Amino acid sequence: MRRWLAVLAATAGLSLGGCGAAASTSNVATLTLWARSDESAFITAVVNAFNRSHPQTHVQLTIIPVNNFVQKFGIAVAGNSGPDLASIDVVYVPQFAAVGVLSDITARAHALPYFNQFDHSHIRNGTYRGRLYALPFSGDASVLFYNPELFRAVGLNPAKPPKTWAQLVQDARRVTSSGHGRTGYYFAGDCGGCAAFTFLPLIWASHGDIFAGPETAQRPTLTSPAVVAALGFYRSLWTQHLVATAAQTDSGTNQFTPFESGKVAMFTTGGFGVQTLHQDAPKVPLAAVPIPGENGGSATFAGGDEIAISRSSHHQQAAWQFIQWVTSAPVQERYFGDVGVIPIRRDVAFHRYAPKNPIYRLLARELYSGRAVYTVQENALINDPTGPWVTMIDDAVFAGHPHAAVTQAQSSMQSILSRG
Amino acid sequence: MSAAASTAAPGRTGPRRFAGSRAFRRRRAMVGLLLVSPALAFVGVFFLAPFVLMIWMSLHKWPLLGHTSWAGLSNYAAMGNDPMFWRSLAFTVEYTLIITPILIVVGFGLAWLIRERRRGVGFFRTVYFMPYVIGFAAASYLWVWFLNPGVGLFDKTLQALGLTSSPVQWFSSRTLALFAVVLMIVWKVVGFTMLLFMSGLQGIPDDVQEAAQTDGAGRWATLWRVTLPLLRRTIALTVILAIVGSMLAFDQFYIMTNGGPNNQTVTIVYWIYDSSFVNFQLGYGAAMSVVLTVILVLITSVQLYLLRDQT
Repeated sequence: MRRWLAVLAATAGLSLGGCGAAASTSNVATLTLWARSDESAFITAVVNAFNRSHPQTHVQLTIIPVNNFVQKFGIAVAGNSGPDLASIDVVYVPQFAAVGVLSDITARAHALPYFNQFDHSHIRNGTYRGRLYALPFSGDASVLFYNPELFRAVGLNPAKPPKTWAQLVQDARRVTSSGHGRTGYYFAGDCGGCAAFTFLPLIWASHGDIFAGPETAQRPTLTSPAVVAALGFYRSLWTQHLVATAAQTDSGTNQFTPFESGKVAMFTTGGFGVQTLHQDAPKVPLAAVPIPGENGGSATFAGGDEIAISRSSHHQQAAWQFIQWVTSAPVQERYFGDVGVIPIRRDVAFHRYAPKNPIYRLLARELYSGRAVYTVQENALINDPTGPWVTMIDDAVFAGHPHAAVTQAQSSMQSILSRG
Repeated sequence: MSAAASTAAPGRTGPRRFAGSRAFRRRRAMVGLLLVSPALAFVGVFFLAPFVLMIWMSLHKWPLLGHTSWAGLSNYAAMGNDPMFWRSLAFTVEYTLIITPILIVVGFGLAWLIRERRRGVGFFRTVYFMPYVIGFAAASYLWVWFLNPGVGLFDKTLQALGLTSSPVQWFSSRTLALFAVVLMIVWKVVGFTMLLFMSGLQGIPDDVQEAAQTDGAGRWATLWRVTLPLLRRTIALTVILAIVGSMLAFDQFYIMTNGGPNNQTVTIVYWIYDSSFVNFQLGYGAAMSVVLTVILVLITSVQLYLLRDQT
């Protein structure tokens, strides 16, 4: 018994000693930062650089699998156990802003001397009811990539990539009919996020949209002619076998594989794809053009992430300090632009990143003229594999029921939006 | 008189013995309660409390983020107008009806083949059982790779054997997707069913079978009239486990088919997950969970009744 008491006393002593040690280093604020796995290629370097240059603040990074980010972040903030900072996909920011789990940074953000340099699309998605809840963190833009060597091999002029849907179909047909297992085009057909990034610009470029109305009273417009036409365009690519058959079940995990094989002439992706393709298929030549509209014109999805502070964070000031640091010009240049991520500041993007190569120039131009989908129910409407957006594409493009598909999706989206 | 005599005798020592017996019984009851209290606490904390909370949630409009409000039975009423609820429930029942007999028959067949101690039989027992120790998620990812049209083992083998000329898109049709999942589940789970049957078979005394054969029963007659009836409890257990497990199927469909094509392989648990953590409607998800629990209790009760030991 006496021995037990001694052990207890020793343990208590150690604990108290531990407390003392913690108190002596309590000047260091520890911030938690969550980011989606898509950013793992560059975000560790960003965090390490911050920790090296800020001895009084330590940022602890947690990478969350991209498909579970909304669920994990939602559950965490609902239980007041969320991170201090979160790097959130632009499309999800309105939802989290609307439910009040992000800190209002309007005044502090507008006071930044470089506020006007930020990409407007990111700022739009960080805003809810006129208040700003997030600032741009990393940029991306969707464009049409093509293989100029394959174009040349089938007698197409690589200097004249398609500028309309009809031209794209024509070029795709030429590539596919040349044999050798080649196909003209590819897309991940079972991936809501991919489709928002790559298919939605086809609709925008044709002067259409999938939502109308103000942010608090949105309504879907899926039965509009531009949406039906875009679905018809994909359907024609599919029925003419101009798309590799793997497209139907590709949830995004294999979206690069067909193009990397050198047998697919065209596919749409973002700036992050440039790094992936250079790394995985360095011998496959790459060129890019804007995503065309039905009869010309172009559009892009301005993607990437925003950085926000949890409203429940006890380190609001330290978290803001991180945001200021990460949006500063030298950091955006060195840790984003230099590793192939489009900087979210116009000055850095156009003067430091874009001059490096023609694809970067195109990506920068597209990001700063692009737009993103804005809705407070993005995950349920668009990214959910069982949601109305994915179901509509599946039903219209692969099953061949375009009218039933848009009618059903319109009704489902309306129902989701109306429940708030 | 004899009755009086018989009660008078213990009467002398009765009060003391009675008192001792009651105290003993009380002490024994206390010890018993004490011994089961960890289990009771476990069930209370990890089953009863969450279950009561789930019922409470099902009576509310309970978004994951935001304010909750009383909804009465509206979440239950909403199921009636939710086509995905009925579709996913019907698909889950269909999947259960397909997978359960396969697991029972294949599991019993394997157990029958390797029931006796022979040279090399341990190897087969290990091989058949090994997939069971892999988690559902890991096994599902493994099979996604097996079935990948570009790099998967299956398509390469099928093409090498000349059975297919081009890669098979395993998840492009409902039938193929369901077939792929059933194949994976049989591979993964049948080892456990086999183990249960093996233990049941080993519990049947050899002399019972020998007696049947001495009476002139052939191999099939012995199987049908002696072995299977004696395996009634094992069969009941495996059927219940297979049905409950299949009715709660989630990981394999979430990972392998993503609910596709066109939401045709969404199970009821998948839909509950989707409603709760994608659409953030915890109240509606809780209501569906309550209904699913009731369905499972009913199915299990009917099974237990039908397969009860009538001896």
